Amino acid sequence: MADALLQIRGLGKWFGDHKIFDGVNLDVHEGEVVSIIGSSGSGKTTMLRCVNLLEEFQHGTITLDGKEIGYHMVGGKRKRLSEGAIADQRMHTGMVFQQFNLFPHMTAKENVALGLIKVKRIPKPEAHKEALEWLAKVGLGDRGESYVTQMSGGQQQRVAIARAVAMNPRFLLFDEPASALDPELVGEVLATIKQLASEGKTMMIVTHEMRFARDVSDKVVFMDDAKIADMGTPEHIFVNRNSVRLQNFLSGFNT
Amino acid sequence: MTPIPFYDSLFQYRNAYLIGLVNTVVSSFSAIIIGAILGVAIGIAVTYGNKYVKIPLRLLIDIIRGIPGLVIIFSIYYFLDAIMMMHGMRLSLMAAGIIALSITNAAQIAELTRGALQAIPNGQIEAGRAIGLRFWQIILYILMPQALVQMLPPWVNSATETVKGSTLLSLIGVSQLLLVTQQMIATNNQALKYYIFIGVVFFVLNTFIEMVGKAFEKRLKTV
Amino acid sequence: MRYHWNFGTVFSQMDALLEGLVVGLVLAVVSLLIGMLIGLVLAFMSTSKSKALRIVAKWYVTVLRNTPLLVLIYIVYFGLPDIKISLGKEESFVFALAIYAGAYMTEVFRAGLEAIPKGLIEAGQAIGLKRLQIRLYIQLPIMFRNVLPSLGNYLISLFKDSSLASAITIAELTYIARKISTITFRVFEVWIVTAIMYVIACYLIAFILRRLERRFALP
Repeated sequence: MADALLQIRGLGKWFGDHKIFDGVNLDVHEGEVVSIIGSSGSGKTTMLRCVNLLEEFQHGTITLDGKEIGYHMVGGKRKRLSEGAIADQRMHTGMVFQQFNLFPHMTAKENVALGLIKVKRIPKPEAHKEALEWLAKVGLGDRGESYVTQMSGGQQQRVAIARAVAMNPRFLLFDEPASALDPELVGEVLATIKQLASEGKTMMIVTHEMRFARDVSDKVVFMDDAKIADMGTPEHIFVNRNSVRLQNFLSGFNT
Repeated sequence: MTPIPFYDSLFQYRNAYLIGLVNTVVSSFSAIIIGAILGVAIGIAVTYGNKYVKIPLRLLIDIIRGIPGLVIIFSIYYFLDAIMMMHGMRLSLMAAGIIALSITNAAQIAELTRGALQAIPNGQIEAGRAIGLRFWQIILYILMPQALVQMLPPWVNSATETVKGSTLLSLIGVSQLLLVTQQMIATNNQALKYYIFIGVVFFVLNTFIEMVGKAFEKRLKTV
Repeated sequence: MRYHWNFGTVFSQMDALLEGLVVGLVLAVVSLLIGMLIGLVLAFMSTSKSKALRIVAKWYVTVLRNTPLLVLIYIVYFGLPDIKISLGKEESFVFALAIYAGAYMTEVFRAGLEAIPKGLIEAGQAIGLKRLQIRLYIQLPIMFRNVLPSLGNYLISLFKDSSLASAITIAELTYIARKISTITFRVFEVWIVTAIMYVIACYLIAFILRRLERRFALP
């Protein structure tokens, strides 16, 4: 198998003496969909945020296409890169947040186009056209001029997904994309993500939707007790259920 | 000089009034603009700067806000006057007045900016980072537009306060509306009429600012 | 050129400066109290059923908020004698500052009244209280707790405004500072000390008020 697109080695995050997680090793290959499950407080969201360099981490490395991101060595000391250099690296990753984090002072189209215009330096008319195409892809082709505050949660999250994929990132990160939604709106968002997965987008998804994780993933990671406790095919995680902790965790869900 | 009827004197001295009005408008509007630029910059620095920027600026804002505007005016006037005198130069009263009003105004605006920026959820910054924006771009395109909507009503308020505060410049001899009025009264008596007249002028000026503010608010309130 | 600092001259006048500070504080407190009375009446007017009363209250607030305080002081002190009302310096200043504060207090109290849940007033009606009783026993006490922080901030603001009393030669801190600075020529020292005194006084007022606030806060 070719080298993984994203290699996480010995990743550790601490708040002083408090361990959030440590010793995390994970490979994500091109086109792979990796779900991360685990009880709240297991560190899965923080881990995802580390991959997008929204969090600092104390141990380990993250490499994208064989190049380390976020940190470099200066005179034998590990140092975080400048905010500017990190901003450049974030161009290659897209992130979808639990709370959408759409820009309330902009229309749906402007939300999607902002990164295209300011980061990718695409001329405004083209960027707007492209933004509308992406919105159409998530089923919101007619809502480009709407302010996001006038949209339902499901629609907002789809705009957020369009905003992330529009940057054409190497991979996408989803942080509990359906957790803030009313139950009847969960389906439309998950369907959108599924569609992107079927098109071969590489993604990591932190989720509590077990059935979705089982359907969409190539690999499922179970985080527990501040580390990766188990990892494997959906089959391996959801059918074999090799540990008591995993059994207990999954018994709370309808899989 | 012999006293002349109130309305005749307004007409006869219209040029003096006009100069007074121009000086009032120039001094207060310069202070509003300089104060806005300085205040927003300081407000951003105090919200997102590191602690070596944050703490001194925080302290500075608090100190200025604890000093009466009139004391700032006197201080700046006497300080600059003394410094200029040491160098054999003469101080422009108007410049001293504008500097003093700008300082007072900047501290207010800095505080407004800080409050408005802090009210914006952190997720907005993270979303901007996630699409690869630089921090100054996040401030420019994401945070400030949202903060401005919040800030506008109190901003308009501070602008009218500055216009009113410009009357204090008469106390250091800047020849604006109030000083012109006082000169008028010195020759014509009838203090009540003249002071009420100038009160009306300020009322009109401030109502104008409030109307402009309301118009802006309407345009920004598309969200 | 080197400037030779000499704070001694200023400190030797500390008694006079402190006295001035107290004068300013008294002017502010008295004005605030009268301003609160005006504000209270106007706030009830502006929330009343009568349109005329609401309009009167609204105009009072609009006119006074748009008039420079210094002009107001001059109107009272220099202008009113034209219609045979002559007040002393202190009375004039307090009168001007109080009616000025009254406009702000009206807004503060009105906001405080509007923040009271309607259900509480209905509950008062349900147990058979009269309108005046509802105002006295339900609206007023709740409103006062609502507006306490704003009142404190406004007292500080009025204390700073008391510096304007120097314009009609009332011997408060700013007036005395100006006098000392023109007599001794120690302008830097005088104004630095004066500014620091204002800042410290504002901090102390804020500190004391915050403690009071905590005492009055509802559990």
